[in-house]
Amino acid sequence: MIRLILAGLRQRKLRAALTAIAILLGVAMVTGTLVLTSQITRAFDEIFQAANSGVDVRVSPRVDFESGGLRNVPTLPESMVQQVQGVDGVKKAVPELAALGSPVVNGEYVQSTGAPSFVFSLTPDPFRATQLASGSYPAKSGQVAVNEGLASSQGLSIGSRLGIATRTGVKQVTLTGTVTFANVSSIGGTTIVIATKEDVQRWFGLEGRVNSIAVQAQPGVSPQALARRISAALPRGVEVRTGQQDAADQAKQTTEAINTFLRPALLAFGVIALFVGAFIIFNTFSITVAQRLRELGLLRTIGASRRQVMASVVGEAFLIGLLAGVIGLFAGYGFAALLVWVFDVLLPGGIPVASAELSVGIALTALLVGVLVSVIAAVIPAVRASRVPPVAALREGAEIPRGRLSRFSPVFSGLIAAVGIVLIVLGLRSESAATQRLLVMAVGALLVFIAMGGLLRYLVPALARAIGWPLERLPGASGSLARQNATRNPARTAATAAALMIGIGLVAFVAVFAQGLKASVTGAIDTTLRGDLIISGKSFQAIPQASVAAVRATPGVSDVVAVLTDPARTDAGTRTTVFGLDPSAAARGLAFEWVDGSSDSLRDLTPREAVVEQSFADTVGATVGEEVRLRTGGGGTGVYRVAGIFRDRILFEDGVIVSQAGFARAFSARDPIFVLAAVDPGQDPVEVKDAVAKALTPFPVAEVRTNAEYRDEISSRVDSILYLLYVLLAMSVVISLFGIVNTLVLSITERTREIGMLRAIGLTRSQLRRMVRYESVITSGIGGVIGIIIGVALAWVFSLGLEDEGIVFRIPWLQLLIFLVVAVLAGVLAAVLPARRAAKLDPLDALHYE
Amino acid sequence: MGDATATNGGTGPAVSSEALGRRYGKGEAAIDALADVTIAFPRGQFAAVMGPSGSGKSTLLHCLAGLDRPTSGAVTIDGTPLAGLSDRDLTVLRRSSIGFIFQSFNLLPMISARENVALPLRIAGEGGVDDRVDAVLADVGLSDRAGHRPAELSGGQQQRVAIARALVTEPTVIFADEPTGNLDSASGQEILDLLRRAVDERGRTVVMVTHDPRAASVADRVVLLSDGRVVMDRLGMDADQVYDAVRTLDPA
Repeated sequence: MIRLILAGLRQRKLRAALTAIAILLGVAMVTGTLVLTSQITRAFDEIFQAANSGVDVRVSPRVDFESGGLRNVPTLPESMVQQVQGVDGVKKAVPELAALGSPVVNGEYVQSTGAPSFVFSLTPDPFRATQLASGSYPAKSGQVAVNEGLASSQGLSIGSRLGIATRTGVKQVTLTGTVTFANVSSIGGTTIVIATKEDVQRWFGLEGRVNSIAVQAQPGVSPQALARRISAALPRGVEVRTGQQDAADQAKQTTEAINTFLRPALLAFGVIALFVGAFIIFNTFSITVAQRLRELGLLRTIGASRRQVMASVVGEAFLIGLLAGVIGLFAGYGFAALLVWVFDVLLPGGIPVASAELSVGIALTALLVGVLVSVIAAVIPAVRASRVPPVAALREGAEIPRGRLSRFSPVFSGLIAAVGIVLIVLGLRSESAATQRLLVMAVGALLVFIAMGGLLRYLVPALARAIGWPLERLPGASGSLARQNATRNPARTAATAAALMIGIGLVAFVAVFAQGLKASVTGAIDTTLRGDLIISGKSFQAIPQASVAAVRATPGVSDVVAVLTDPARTDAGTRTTVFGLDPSAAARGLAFEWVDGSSDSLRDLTPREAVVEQSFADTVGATVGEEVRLRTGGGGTGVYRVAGIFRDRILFEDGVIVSQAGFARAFSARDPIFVLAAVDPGQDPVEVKDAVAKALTPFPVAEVRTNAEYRDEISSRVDSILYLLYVLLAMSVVISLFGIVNTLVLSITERTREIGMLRAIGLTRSQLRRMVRYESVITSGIGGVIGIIIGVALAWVFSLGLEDEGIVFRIPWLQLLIFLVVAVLAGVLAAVLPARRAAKLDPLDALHYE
Repeated sequence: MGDATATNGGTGPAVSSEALGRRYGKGEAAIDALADVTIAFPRGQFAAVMGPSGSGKSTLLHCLAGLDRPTSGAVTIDGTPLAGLSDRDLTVLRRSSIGFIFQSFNLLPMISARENVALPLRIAGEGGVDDRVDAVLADVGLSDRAGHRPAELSGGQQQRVAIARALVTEPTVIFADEPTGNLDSASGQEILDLLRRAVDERGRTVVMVTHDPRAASVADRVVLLSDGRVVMDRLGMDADQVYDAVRTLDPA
């Protein structure tokens, strides 16, 4: 039986190859994701291990939960360094400071799109995470060393003057040396500036404070023992860890982000690609079983059992899956390299990457995925093959008896669709964790696509007529022949179109959803923000507090609201964001919809009061007059009486607004995340904006925009994510192309004799090519149209479910039209090879073909 | 409607060959399927080509119809030499001057009889399709079955559709390859009658390859092939004469 399968595969090489490609690409995406994420996590491990190799123990402030990265890091008093130095077994204790600040070279702010810009305080050996590459470390105030990559890309040399954008303005300094970081050759676009401790403290308003304390143990004292001793000597609220532990913890944070977000997100696209591939495998095997009726019947007449016939089909699928797994494994490494390249374009140097490694786990995953998808997709065709009666060997035009349940298939499809829709709605309505809800909704969407694939065959004749209408109007018979060919086997055309339907459907879904998201956010900006200008930080950084005064002092600016934020949690663990702002300015500058209370509640806010957003109030069950207890990331607590409840599902969703004084009672953020400014009536906002920009020159991290510009900025951020999604979904569209190619090639083989007849009675080669191309376009058009309809429908259901979150439903007509054109072009492209094969057929051979 | 001289113009033979040769393979293993066949079929003639299996009769038909390229010699259809014609020109010539009838009917299964008949006209992008299709369907006696798909018709009816499809473009010559081979004798007789009428009433030229001496006896002329050569070429034979002629060549 195995020899038979192998012989069959050899005989139909092209089909086997096209079929394998269908899953190969999906396997490559899955493997590539695993390879890439392990590359990234290993790179971070290496960086953190190397950077901490000289640190035996590190003392840092207690952090219960992440509070916005380096944006506002809690600090320790510098006096604690002496306290640590006094602990028995400590050889040396040194203060460490780290802040965010970009270099300014020749007046130009050096902005990296993805990677952070660090300013570190100089530490002595052996604590240094950097190695000197040239020159020397800064010896006194006004001197800095920078990473080698920055120096060479900006043309800096020893003795060059450059600026550092700090919390207290741009500081002019002299370059004394260049360094490499943690022996890692590339840390992407990350910039590193090393200055004296005193400079860093002054620049960032950290006088008398340090971020952490690095400790070297005396010989013979283990880091663990030393850590215990130091911990005992220090007050509560301080974290004491060994250097290794600290490195592992730092790496773990990054690794977790990658493993819980990047990896599942990328894997999802791999699964989609495999899903599309499964449709193609199913369809290809269905067609070949139908074409091999005689052969299968012959097997039965010479004594093969139904099980053996079934095994021959499943065995073929197994081999194709294995082939796809092996090649897909290697293609996966190519895909990982491609992703590294894509990330590099989107976030230049944003992500460090270690070299790729071949692991047994990844290899097994690739093989298993390839084989499983292929075999599962071939089960139904295999069962059908086993039903071929022996008499099929003898009789022309024998048919496979239909299964007992097959007449219920539209009912089944309907049920599957209903289950899918229910799952989506459940996911939308559910209160459980986001990942769980997403999974439930994804399974729901998957079921909807499967059901649609089953129902599509009933729509094919009508759709083919509609899409073929213009083609049939063209001179010559190619158009009507194509339409008739597309409808003669509706199930086949449906399954082929369904593969494309999935890709186009998801593309349309994200396009519609993103359009709604953009409309919601820009709408919220329009309705909530009464001011004219928004000042925000580049690369998601906070804006130095000192810049607020500069904005306020600008002529033409009438009112300024600076917004501080910190994450917080309730005792029950509910996450929220606390906003600290000037109540009376905020009452003028922000227009909320009030559920309980009014803008007066905001204006008259005392330091012990808060106004809360409705969804937060609902989650914790808070009403006006009650108190809410909020814990800070550093272990502090703030208690506020609810003075009002407002509704704002986009900008302040789930949030708690307190006064600046109230904020300072528990929270530590000093620099606002954004600043809103109103322009004096009668002043031109654009002119005032230019004046504000000039006033912000000492703080190049701050960027001022009019509301309209801010809206555009947000739209373009949504768009750039959208384009990334398009790129990842394009893979499924490409896979479905192979499906169309495969179906056309198989159909042409099946219709060889017909083609010979058509050529004999006068169909020219180009008419024949056109006939194949039109059939392809009708198929891809069906996939495109139905895909777009499902995508829009899914987006509509989602927007209904997310109505409470403020997400609206908007249809991007132009984009949808473009997708349809893409679908049609995909059809044209898919037809190239099959049309050429058809045209090459010698009419004489074709007529003799049996 | 047709009168005997209504051919597609020209007065020379509808189709002719000059020293036609077709060799398959190369060197020692080469086989001459046709060797030095010079033959002409005048307009308005019904000719039957016979011969034992492997005698080259199908190859002759294919070469004459421009489906196969001869290795030597020349073929002329309707005054046009086929040598040097591009695939496109050859296709257009087939479209306008030649009709085909096959042993296995070769109708498109997914369209009706009427649409099958209309196919050559639609491929050519010609106008007035409906009237011409109706007329030719009436001629083969299938007006009432026009809306049916091939699978809903008997073999004889399907072959009548094929004849209608061959007639609808009013070609100079119709090539028929074993047109009765898949039919019972009654249906076969109907087909032969239709071909006969195409010659007598419409002035078409029919070149029919057949095994069946009774079919050949309906023709005006019988050409007998053996080993790629014409061994007999006679007019006005009856079935017994044809049978005897064939038997002398093919004792089996």
